[in-house]
Amino acid sequence: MLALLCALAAVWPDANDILARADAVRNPADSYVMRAQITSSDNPSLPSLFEVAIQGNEKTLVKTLEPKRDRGRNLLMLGEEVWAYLPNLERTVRVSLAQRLSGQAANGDISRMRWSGDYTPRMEREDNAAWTLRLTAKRKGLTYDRLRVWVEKQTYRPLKAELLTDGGRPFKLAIYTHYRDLAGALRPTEIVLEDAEDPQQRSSIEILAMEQRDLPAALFHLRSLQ
Amino acid sequence: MRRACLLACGVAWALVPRPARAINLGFDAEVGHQASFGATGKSPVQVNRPYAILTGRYIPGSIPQPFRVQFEAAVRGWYDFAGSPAADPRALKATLTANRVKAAIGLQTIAWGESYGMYVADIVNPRDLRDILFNDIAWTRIPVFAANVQLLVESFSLQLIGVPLGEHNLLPATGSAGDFFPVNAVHMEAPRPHLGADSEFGARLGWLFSSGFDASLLFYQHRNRNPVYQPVLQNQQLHLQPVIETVRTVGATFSHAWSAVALRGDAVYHFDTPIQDYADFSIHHGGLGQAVVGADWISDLLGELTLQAHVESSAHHTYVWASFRAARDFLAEVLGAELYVFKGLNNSDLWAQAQLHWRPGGDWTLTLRGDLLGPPNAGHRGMFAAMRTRQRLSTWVSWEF
Repeated sequence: MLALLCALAAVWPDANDILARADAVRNPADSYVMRAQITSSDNPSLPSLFEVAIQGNEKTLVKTLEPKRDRGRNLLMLGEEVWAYLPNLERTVRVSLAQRLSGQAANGDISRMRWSGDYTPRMEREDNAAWTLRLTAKRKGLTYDRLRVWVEKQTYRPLKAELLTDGGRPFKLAIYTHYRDLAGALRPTEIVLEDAEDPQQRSSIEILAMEQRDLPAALFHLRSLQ
Repeated sequence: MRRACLLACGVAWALVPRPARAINLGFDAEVGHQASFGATGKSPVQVNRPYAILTGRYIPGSIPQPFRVQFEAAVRGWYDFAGSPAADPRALKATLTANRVKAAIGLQTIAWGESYGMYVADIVNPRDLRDILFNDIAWTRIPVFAANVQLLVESFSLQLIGVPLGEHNLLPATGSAGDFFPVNAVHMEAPRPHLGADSEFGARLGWLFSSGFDASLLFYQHRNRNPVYQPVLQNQQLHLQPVIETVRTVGATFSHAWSAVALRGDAVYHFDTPIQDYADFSIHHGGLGQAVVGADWISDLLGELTLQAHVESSAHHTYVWASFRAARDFLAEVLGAELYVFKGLNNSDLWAQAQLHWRPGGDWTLTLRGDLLGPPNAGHRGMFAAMRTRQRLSTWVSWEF
């Protein structure tokens, strides 16, 4: 009986395992740097370009490179705490993960790239192609409280995610697409975020480059954000 | 033996510092124009100046890991048709970053504090007070030559600052747009600082608690930042001698955020500092406490809303103010609007500033700004009571590339 259960466990991965593997598809290592471009439907001629340094699930530094007028407006995420550096004030102010970064993209959409650790997953359903997981935030202050995520079987690639209201109704949709070789594996290089009620309102997060890199601890300190 | 040699070579190879990434050289530039129009009584106000700011950064590629060095230079120049051309270096520093240490040496600005509008904890750099209503702190903070060393370990930070030659505020010329003394007098030059006697130094100790509460304690010895004038009669003409003394300041800053709301504050106490009374311009010496506590709320619908309470207290006076700021972008950030209101609660101060930003495309920004000071009340004079300029319209065009 025990052997049967073990065999079943090996065939039937649990929700936590699926979520962890989906994170591994999106993130190459514990510590890496990526360059991301966000283009929004309300201003497609003016994309924003960011350089993102990520260490684990708790430390992210987002540097704004384009447009020029926003250069220097950097974000630092430590856990659920987020600070933005405002060059015109030459000081750092507290912001929230849910605050809008550009278009439909929130600060947390590029600064918090792992679901496991932040969310409790529950298998909602599955078909031949994918598992559907319902994710519930483990604590307050995260970008989104509830998500529904589709993960492709065999590859563990995230396919799409619905971001849900308190009542369980989708208010935003995220589609993971354009898988190509990045940092040694096939990873999604475009995340399209759509307003669920107005799909014309959309933003595209395009990952232009990704590289594993050892990052110094001082990089992720609040006092060095300037 | 051969294996031992190969092993030794392998270990040695692993220990050899690798050169860092390729050389990185970059420039940023901003050109623009500022204009200011207003009239109050006998003092017409006009600023008409194109300007340029050039910033260069250089990261040499030969520095081994984990060290990183960056050299930065920035200079700002303008030609004021109502005045004269001017240029000032904004930065000339080298920054060394190792794993947990960051040290910057050279000409630089250092920002302390969490508040907006009135920067009571921002005392490391002196200020350009020639136009007090122009509160863009990136422009009015005067760079100083400093050693700025930070130890950054997890939730803890320690910052040590040393400035061998402290500078003093730039004060407005008599009768000029920013003059805040009630009578026309000859403004005398402040005494030049001396190495050693006028050195400034201090430290800031910070801690980010696991709850998300961020706090810091600070100490700084410096030349007084609040402008104080001593009237002097010379050759039967009234002169104003700036009073510059060494002051010791202690203080604290804090911030904490819950979802869309952030609470923050600054408090400082200056020991035995010269103080000029806003009501009768008499000069006292004593302790001066200043504090600002504020809350920000950010929503997609309303934008950014900020409410602050300000207090200034000494043995001779206590002033209380409240301020409100609202900022919101429209049309995909093509348009932006800001409103800042600063109101005295036990004095007659009222300052309202409205701004409209237009970002037509690329990296152009056009700002229209209006400033209004309310009329002073003789019985409850505040800090703005003696300001010459009480209404002003300004424009600011900039292009960054």
